[in-house]
Amino acid sequence: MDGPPTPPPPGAGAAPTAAAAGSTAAIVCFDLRKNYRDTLALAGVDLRVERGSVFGFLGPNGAGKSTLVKILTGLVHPSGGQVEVLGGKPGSRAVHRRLGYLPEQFRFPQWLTGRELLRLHARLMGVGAEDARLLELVGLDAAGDRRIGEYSKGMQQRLGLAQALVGDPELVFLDEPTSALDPIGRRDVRDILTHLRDRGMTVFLNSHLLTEVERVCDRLAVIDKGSVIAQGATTDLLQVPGLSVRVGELPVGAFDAIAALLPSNLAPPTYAAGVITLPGVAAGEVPAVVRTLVDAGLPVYEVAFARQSLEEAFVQLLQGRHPGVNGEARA
Amino acid sequence: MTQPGAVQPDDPRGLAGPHVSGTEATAAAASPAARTCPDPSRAPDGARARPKRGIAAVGPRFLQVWYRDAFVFVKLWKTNLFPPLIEPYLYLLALGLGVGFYVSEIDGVDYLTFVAPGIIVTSAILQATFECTYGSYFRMSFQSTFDAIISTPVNPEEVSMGEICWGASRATLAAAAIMVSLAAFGRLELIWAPVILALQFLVGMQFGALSLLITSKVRQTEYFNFFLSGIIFPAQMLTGAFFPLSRIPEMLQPIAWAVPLTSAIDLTRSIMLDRLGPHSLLQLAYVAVATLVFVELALRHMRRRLIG
Repeated sequence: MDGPPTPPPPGAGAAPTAAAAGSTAAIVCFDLRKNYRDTLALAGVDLRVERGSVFGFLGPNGAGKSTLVKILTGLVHPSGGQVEVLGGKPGSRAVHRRLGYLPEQFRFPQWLTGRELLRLHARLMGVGAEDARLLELVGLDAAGDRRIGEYSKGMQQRLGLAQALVGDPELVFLDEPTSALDPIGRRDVRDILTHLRDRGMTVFLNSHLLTEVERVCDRLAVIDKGSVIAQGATTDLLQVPGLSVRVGELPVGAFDAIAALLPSNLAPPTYAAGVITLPGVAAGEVPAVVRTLVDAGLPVYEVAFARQSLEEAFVQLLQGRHPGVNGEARA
Repeated sequence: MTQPGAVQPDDPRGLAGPHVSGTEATAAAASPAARTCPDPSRAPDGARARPKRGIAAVGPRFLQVWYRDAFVFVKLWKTNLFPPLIEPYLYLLALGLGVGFYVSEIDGVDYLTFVAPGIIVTSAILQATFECTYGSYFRMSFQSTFDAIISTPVNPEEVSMGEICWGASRATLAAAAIMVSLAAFGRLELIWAPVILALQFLVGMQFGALSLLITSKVRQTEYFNFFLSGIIFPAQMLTGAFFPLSRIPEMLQPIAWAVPLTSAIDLTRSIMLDRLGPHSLLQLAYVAVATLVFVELALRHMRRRLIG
């Protein structure tokens, strides 16, 4: 779980400020709001991204993801609240010198070579050419002198990643960087992101590909209808306290009878799709639970401490907030 | 740190968006300080320092934007350079040699000599106009190039200034190409070429800025048709490029002279026909001031477009 952005103690008289919390954080937002005329895009976002982390940012379409990313990169002014990026104001030159950004749906001039594109961007960043290092980093060193028009979509996306890394930024925003990549390409990008994190870079990853986010991000946040509805360490978010026991299909009414046999100190179990889930079961209680189920004549195929996929967690978070999002998707 | 399981209305998993307890979050939201964005105009010592906007915000980095556009252009120089030059040459042939055959003299000179400055200026403004409408819009909306540039230390004003200067450069290139053939026809003294080209750069900036101003307002390229058909093409025809302004109704003449393009064309003609006088300085000042105004407006409106 994230640590809080150290708001002042209650009653101290001062409101929590981004500056107060920003010393160890790459991004801090407090009550960040954005209105587009009558449309509320952000309804008071509170967010903290630690330096040196790969941070996943998720949400359904229209949830406010792009708006927040644009505010953080200085492309949109917030309507209210506080925001701090790398200890400074988003959009300021001092921050932009330390920032990398790969916009969504970025298109390159097709007749430039990858190397030329990176050199042009280096000039805009005001840094020396580092195309050789970056092309090697994203696995395009052999294709650096070919026209971008000859690149596959995946190669162009990797080139975009290289462009975002020009100037060796401290914080890089990647908007859907793996959407056009094949499985090998995605693995390569994961490796790059892990490498960047190991070097101390902060990566803010906005992606619809939940499995990618789950694999690469050590922290994440979910935004919906302009509000962050969950954020924290990925492991915490995916962890479901309890035990799941796969027993196969049960006859109608059998589950209630079995539930009555389980130790009374346990929370009520649930059954769905051939799996009994027992919340709050400690490791020491597992043998007793399994013995009870076996003694009841159930075939026990698998016993595991529960952990859900990010997709399951995502759907669960949105459950009830959107028509059409329900628990069936978790099957 | 919000405890897992501490379910809040907007935090069904207890993973806590705000990182603060409900009470603290409420306090934070209620605080006037928390409701306001950090004031970018407030200096560390508390004194107010207005952020620079418009031309005042332009630093040398606009040259990098210009360089980027120029580099991309040169990569496709065959495609980029020749087609736009065909049209003015057709004008030269059709009007100068074709129509000119039937016009013995106009304004004291043969028709080709009269119309040549008009073709130079109108070709220049068309280049700047197309570059800063379709070209800039494409980079802004379809390629997201401006988003990527603005996330570097280059600010929106420098992006716009780079675009305007690149439009002006293309205007100057177009003018130069026509001037080469005019020199070959003996209709241009090369000693005036640098002055004429400098003037075309200024006019190119003016129309580049006007075009970028329009670009800052449109949401789809079809709207450029109104600008081109409603402003640019009439301006081409009614500002003395192809016939003397004395031929248009007298009551419309002040309106025609109010259009800065009229002064630009007349000034170019005065240079080429060696008719410079005190009025030329006034015309130059008018063109320069109009350019400054359009550039300032374009920079401010493009900032609003680029930074939502």
